[in-house]
Amino acid sequence: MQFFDIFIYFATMIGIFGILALGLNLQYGLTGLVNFGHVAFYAIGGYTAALATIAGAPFVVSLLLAGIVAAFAGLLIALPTARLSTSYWAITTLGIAEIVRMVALNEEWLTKGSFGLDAITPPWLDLVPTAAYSAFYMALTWAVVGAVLIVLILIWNSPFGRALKAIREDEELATSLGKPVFLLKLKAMALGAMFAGLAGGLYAHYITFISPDDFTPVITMIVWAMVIIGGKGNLVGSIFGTVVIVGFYNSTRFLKDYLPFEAETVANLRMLVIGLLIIGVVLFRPQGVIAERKRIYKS
Amino acid sequence: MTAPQLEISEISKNFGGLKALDQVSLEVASETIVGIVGANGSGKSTLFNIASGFLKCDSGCVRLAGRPITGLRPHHIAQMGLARSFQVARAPDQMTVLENLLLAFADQRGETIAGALLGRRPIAVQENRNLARALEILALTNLAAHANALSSELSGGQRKLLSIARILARDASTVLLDEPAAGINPTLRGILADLVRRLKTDHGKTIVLIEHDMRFVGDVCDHVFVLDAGRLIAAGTPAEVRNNDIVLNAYLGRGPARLKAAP
Amino acid sequence: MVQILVNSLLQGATLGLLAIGLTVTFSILRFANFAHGEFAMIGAYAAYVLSIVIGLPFIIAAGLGVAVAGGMALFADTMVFGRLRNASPIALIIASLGLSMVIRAIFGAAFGADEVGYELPLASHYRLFGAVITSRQVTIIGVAAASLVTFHLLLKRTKLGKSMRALSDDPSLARGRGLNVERIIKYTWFIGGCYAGLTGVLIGAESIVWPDLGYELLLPVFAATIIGGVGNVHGAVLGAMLLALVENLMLAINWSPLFQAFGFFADQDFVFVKTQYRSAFAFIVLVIVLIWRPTGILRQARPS
Repeated sequence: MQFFDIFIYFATMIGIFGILALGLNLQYGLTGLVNFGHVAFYAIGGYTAALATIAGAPFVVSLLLAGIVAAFAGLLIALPTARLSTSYWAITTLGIAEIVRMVALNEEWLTKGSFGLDAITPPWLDLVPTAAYSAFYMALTWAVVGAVLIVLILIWNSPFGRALKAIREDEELATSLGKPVFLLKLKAMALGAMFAGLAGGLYAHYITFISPDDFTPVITMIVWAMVIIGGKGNLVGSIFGTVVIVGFYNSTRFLKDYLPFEAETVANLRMLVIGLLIIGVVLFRPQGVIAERKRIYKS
Repeated sequence: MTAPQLEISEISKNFGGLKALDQVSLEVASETIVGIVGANGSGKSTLFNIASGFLKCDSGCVRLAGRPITGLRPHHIAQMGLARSFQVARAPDQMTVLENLLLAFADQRGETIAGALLGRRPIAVQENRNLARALEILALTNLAAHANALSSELSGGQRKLLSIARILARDASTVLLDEPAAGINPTLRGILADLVRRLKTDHGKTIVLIEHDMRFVGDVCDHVFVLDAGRLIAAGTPAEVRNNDIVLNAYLGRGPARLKAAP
Repeated sequence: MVQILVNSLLQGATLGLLAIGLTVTFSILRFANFAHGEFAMIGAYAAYVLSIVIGLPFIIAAGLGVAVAGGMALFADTMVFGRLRNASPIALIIASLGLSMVIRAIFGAAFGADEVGYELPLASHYRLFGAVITSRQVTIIGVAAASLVTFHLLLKRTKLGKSMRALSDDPSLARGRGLNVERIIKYTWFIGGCYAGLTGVLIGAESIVWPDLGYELLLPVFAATIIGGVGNVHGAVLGAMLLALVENLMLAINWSPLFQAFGFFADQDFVFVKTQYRSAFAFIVLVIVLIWRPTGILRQARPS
């Protein structure tokens, strides 16, 4: 029984983080945007959904709101930054994420600060038998994953996706071919942010308690690890990367009773491994484990 | 008299004290091939960048088919019917040759999110049409065998052909080619010259090209403008310009000038 | 007001030391090094270990700590960045992110989350035009100033400095002139790392040493570098001073009159920005500069 519970927990977290990774893969893997502030959209989505549900909105509304508000945030953030070069973009997005976290921490009238928001009622609690609820929520999460994947597959293979790829490959060339690069970057950011917001909403209703500690910059780095290790530009790669990283991350948490280290040392060792993996991928396999597939057209 | 297809009026550009262009004016008649020649640093590329919107001029005006385009964003100018190539032919690492061409087609309805998600049937129709046209263009430019190869796998000469192929796909009324014949072998040069001429005769395009290779210029251009140190110093047919005293004076005794004379 | 100036001078000088290391690697290698702050942390902890744990006199420990930081920066280049000379800036940035995680994990495991401090002689207080300044702070400002001057002389008077500037301005030209680019890059990393380490030591001397020391400086040091123009060393220092001044001013001003003019907080006579938002100012100034003048307020060292 206990193993089953652990499996469901893993599966749900993989689903939630998978959505985060897929969103980032759209921004970075396909469009080449170095978004170091991804956790901000996760946080905005989480808090929006939590506040909406606490205020009495039904789950579906809360989740949709989470996505919309996060998408809007993505748009706002892209507006002043979309014309910046890579390094500046990375710095700016990191800064924005930090400000979002600072607001979450300090504006207690809104977010209850470090106390966090609790009593987030999970959806359809009375309709589903308690014993099956966690499995139900896992299925719900993966339904959202499925929807996100369908949208992304459609986008990836469309002329829109091709234009985004062109931005990643050669912005000037894309511009000379009439592509509105700035507008396209805004759209890519908004879309990826929307997915992150959905993930945040799902997280909030799963754990039923969120606080600024759930949204530290470390989350951004972990999601980056998932995308680049799994394979940037490849959707299956993102899922794979998520499975590996979430599996690794949480298994050390469950195994810490068996490991001869203190909890804090384990946390540091986790970071060490992930950091080394990131460096390793950049040095030795920059395309990631599952590389981007070449688009073949049959004549 | 019909308005010129491309009209450049009194364009000036300074780069921190260096006068790259000084009151340059020229007109390009519709359905002609015009060459812009001059030594390195004479301002040719700067002129192209300003005309295509990649650079802002300090003063002056550019008109495309009578409509002012000065100061417009480069993608907007491209959408209005001006296509350009780059001095170093672009070959994106992770895109195939076919992807390059499909990217180049104008007016693609699938290039929005709504289009990608909701309008899938009409987009598939348009994509198939573009794909067929792309394959035709690849046959024309000798790249058919590399249709599904990554564009970065192409040789230098093939990349030049790819630039032309993209421009054919783009189907813009006005085309700017930046040193199309640079660094390619004579056979390829012949193919390229043929393609450029066909752009004008078969497709009614207006072409402006920057070139150092005077033989190529003589082969394809109806009219030539000569730039020197940011100023227009001569204009005329290739033969006239080749024998022009002012032009010859500008290049005699100047080491880095690379005007290759015709045989 | 004088106190604000004093504090700003102190913070600006130390941040400036960090910024000059970043600005030279940023301009020569063309990427934002997200691990730069960690070199400061390394210097701070190294000085701690050498002085408290091993028992060396502080000055020697500090000096060696600085060298350790420089050495680690050099090591980072040898192991990671040096293998990516032809990689895109994105790859370098991501690698630097991974590196910062690795460094923080190692030091976190070694030292835990607790803060440590140096054992320094008690500082005497002085009064200067109504502001308070300690002898330690005077020393810190002095050391920072001397180091900045040294760097300036390095750039202007030595062959290495001229080579660094040439490389920053135009790498291909520098290579053409026969400069040993690899060697210059290595020296740049070592020196930049040393200056970062010095920043860490000075911060540790002024307050304490803590694991997030480097990470918390990341945004301000990027801001200072970009404001001053990447590659512009004097700009970086001025940017740091400006930033420190703006931060302190923003925190000190009573915003009540401004808000009341718009009808907010009508019942409050004092409206101050919470100190927790301190680094937000660095960021806001940065975004404003990036939108308004992407090459920095001062002229960039090389043409864009």
